[in-house]
Amino acid sequence: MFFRLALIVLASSFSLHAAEAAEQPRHASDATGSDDPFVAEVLPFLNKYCGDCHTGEYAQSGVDLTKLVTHAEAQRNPSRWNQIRGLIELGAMPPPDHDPLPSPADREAMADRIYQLVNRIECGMDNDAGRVTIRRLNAFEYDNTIHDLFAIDLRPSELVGFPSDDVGNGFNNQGEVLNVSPLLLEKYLNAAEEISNRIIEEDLTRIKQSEAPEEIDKNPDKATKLDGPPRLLTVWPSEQQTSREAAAELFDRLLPRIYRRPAESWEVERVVSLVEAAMARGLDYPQAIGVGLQAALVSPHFLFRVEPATSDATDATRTQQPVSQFALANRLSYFLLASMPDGDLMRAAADDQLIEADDLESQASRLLSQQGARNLVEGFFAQWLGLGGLQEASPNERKFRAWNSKLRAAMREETIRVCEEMVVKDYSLLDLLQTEFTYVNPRLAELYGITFEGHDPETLFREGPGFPYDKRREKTSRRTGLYRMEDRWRKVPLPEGRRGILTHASILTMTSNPSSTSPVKRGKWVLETLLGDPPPPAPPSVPGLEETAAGAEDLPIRKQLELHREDPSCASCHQRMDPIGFALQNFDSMGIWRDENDGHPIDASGKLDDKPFDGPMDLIEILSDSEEKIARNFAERLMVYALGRGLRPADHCAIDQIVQQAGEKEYRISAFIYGVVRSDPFRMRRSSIPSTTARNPSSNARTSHR
Amino acid sequence: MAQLKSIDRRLFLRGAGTAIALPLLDAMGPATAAANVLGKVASQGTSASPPVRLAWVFFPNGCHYKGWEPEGEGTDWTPSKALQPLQTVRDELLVLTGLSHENAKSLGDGPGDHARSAAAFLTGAHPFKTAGSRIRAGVSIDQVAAEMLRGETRLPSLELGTERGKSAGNCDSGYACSYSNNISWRSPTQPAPKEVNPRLAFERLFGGDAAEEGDREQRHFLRRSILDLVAHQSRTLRTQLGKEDRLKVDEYLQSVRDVERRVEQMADAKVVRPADAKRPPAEVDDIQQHIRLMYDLMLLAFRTDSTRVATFMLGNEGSSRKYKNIGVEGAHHELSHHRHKQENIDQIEKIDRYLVAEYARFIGLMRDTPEGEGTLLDNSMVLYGGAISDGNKHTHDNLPVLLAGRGGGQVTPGRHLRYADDPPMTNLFISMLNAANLQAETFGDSTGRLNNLKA
Repeated sequence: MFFRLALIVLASSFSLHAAEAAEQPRHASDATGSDDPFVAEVLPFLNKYCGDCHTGEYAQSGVDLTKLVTHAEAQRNPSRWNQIRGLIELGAMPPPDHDPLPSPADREAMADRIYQLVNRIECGMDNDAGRVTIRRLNAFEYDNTIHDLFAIDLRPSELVGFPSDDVGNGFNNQGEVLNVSPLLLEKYLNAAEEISNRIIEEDLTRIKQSEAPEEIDKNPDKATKLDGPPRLLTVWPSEQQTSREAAAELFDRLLPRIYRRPAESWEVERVVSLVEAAMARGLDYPQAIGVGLQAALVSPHFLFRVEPATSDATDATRTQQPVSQFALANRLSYFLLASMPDGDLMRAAADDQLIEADDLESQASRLLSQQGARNLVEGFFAQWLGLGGLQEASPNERKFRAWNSKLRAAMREETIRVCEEMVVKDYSLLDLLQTEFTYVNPRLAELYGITFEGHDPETLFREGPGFPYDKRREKTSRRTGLYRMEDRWRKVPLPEGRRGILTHASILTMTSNPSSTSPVKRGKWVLETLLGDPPPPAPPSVPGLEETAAGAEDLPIRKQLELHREDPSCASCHQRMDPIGFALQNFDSMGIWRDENDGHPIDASGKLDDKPFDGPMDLIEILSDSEEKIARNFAERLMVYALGRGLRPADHCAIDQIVQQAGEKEYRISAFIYGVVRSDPFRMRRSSIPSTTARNPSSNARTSHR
Repeated sequence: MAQLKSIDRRLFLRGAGTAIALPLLDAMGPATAAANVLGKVASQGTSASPPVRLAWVFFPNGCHYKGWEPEGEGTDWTPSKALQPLQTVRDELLVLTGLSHENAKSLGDGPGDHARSAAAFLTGAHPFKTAGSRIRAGVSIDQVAAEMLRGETRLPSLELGTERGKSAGNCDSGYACSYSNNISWRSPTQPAPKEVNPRLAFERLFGGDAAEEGDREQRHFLRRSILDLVAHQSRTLRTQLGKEDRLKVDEYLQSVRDVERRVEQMADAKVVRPADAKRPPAEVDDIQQHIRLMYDLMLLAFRTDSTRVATFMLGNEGSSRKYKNIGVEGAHHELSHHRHKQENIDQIEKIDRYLVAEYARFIGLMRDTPEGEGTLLDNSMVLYGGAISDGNKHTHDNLPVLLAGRGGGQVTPGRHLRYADDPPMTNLFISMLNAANLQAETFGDSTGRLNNLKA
């Protein structure tokens, strides 16, 4: 308390100083009577309750809340205003010793008002559909696309080592964040070279085999591996056609697949010229075709998902226009498959069969049933659930003897498989919390303390290939070797005490510290990932756990957190985070069930939103009541992934609709997916010309040329 | 934030002609021969003096600062616990204490010190807090130097690391992962990603097997033709796009040009792999081996004058690596918040000392590599540091900083320099550039120079 008092004294002397030092040209108090809703409704509150400390050049923590902020400005910085909103709502700010203090009802009303103003707009018929920044294929999409182009399993991104794709808005497919660097471009060149060499080599073998089938009998292995027609060298020069003509025919067919849209004849022509130039340098036909292929694979038309304006179809009176048919085919395919559109989808685009929302829904349904949900789960679910965090998890191996990279991978695979089944079998989203089945391999079965196909997993380990022969009879808790049937996965009922994803070892491990569980991290994960309601970060002036007295002593975590919550500014957020974590305390840092910790029995009871609970099952029931919140968050995350951009206030009009319609269908996963692909933000884009200019008859920007 | 504007892009090293210096490739050859082949001309016109190399080595998570700061000042200083491993090279480096990174502090943005620290470390800029859109830090000092030296070497700069970028959603309290994963920034909005695979880094420097087998000239011709074609495509494409899309295509085009230039230079320079250099393995499990390989690549790159600017991230900021090779079982980041528990502090001090020891090894190798009339280290400045001082509390003043090398005679090592009033780290960067004959007045949040690098 002394600390805070000192700060306030300091701050007020600073603000005096600030008042002398500089004029605040745009101060909120200058603008009373404004009809800007943010200025009129929010700023007076901030002036009254926050202005003492947060004002002027020397504002507390550098946060000046008395500066004039218009509604439009606030909407441009939602993360800042949502943080401020959260602190007001939870009672963390203004601090409890501030005078005056808003009443709880005032806090709630103001938080709600800020939420509405910052995150929402009035929904109409012609909402701004937003603009997606041109998206580079990320490494996952690149590998999948190469796979689908040539039916080849090469994973070039690993082969030549693409630098990692940066992540924005929680996903690694966000246009604004995906950069191209010289390093990456070099990698693209190398990858293209590897791909073309490999395909040409295989194609030549294929051709040789088909011409001399007797060779196959001598070498059966190779024959089965390289079955079928050539992937690349489909056209050859002959007496009837020159190599130039052959190359033209070849790329005339191939280029539209690589660019994922029809190719102009001059585009084909340029690649053919390159092939010719290569042949003039002495390369043979296959190698020269390879050079042409490399150029196509380094082309911006392959590496980027270009969405050209649909110029002719623009209705200049609207703020949004449809995305072109081929761009839409790409949006759909990369959303659901993280790869290029297949032949059917391309034909549909060519025939203008992707115009109606129903068309998109039936294509989406077709793609998922034909191609499965693995890539959607790897691309979307894994990132939404934050499974990448598992890579960072590092349980202390002295304490957790079974921990190693194989267990890490198995934990991830379990959650992936469960999500995959949920999509394919079209479960309700809420089943994510409630499923009573899961998938295990022997390693995971042992962790969960269940048998595997009637075997004791420990025996399977001792019989496994990795177990040192001479130690076969010895006791060892390390699990570095392989189990017998290590790669076999079985659907099993979850053991007692476990239900749904919250009790998966993956989630429990990645929300733990290496040596101890962290109720705070687990609580935060639930609030942030499941409910989409992350606790605001601690205000900068609030000390972290390690700096308070609570952290200094060797107290049980529950006791430490109790002390922590005695500080009112900590309490506001931890009141919500900690109980969730306490309910999961029966699971240790690797997700293994425990009844006691360091000799103390586990106390997994508490209260969440005034509802008492004891143990994980109660918690899951309480959380399941927040179905709308869970559904809304899921819809929002799915939309961010599908669009490749962060959400804007206008997008909430679409989200509202998706959530409502999904609700009518028991929140089935398909209802969300179809909802997204049917939505305006998915099918539309902002018109190139702002509607105001477009309406102006004197503006002829469209016809004038630079 | 227009740091670049305030920097005179004029390059003092110009006028040396465009011939590519062919470095001495048979390693520890006679020093005089090295002088001839490394004969890039510096501004003073001493035609034989070798170029100055600049490197920045970054370590994450701060340190246990009480165990870092040495006692005594000037030439009379006693290494602290963390700096013990420097004994063998103490006359080759400066210990600088008291520097700060104001822009790594919260400044009203709340938590996220790790992300801010990596982002501010070489940029001196306060990163914009965002989980995705409008990512912005600043141009980093190594990229400024690389831009000034563009064309002098095959690679304008080399960015190395040992940890791939994190793939988790946001890396630190609402900051996009770009901030924690990178220290080099080509532009305020575009990080320069690092190479973490030693074999691939090696091949990037000296070519892979394919390059040796095939007809080099043929290959260069084809690559040039491919690049030419895609550059043409992207120029056409950009005219059809809106502003933001155009920026992305411009980034692409800029990268194409960079690689084109490199291909040209590769073709001219007849890169030969140094005889004593073994091709590194593709997979490295052992962290010690990984760190050493990356340092060795940096040494090799400098020795062969393949580049004059390098950065090396020993770990991503906030790294949870376990240094099992030195018996530390806990995760680095978790241990750095030691909560004043002695057992945690002991572990953190072990890591501090270990990373300094690996740096000392590298500095030793630089010193043992003859060049001109001195050593490679004499013609280098290799900074070691981070933008968090006390890892437990996330402070950004009193940063742990070492600077090895003589910068071609502009630095007098062997001293502990203590600065009062928290001068910004960027002041040191300005002085480093100036010592390398690169003109710079201001950078990031700099307020001047550190004038006493030379005694």
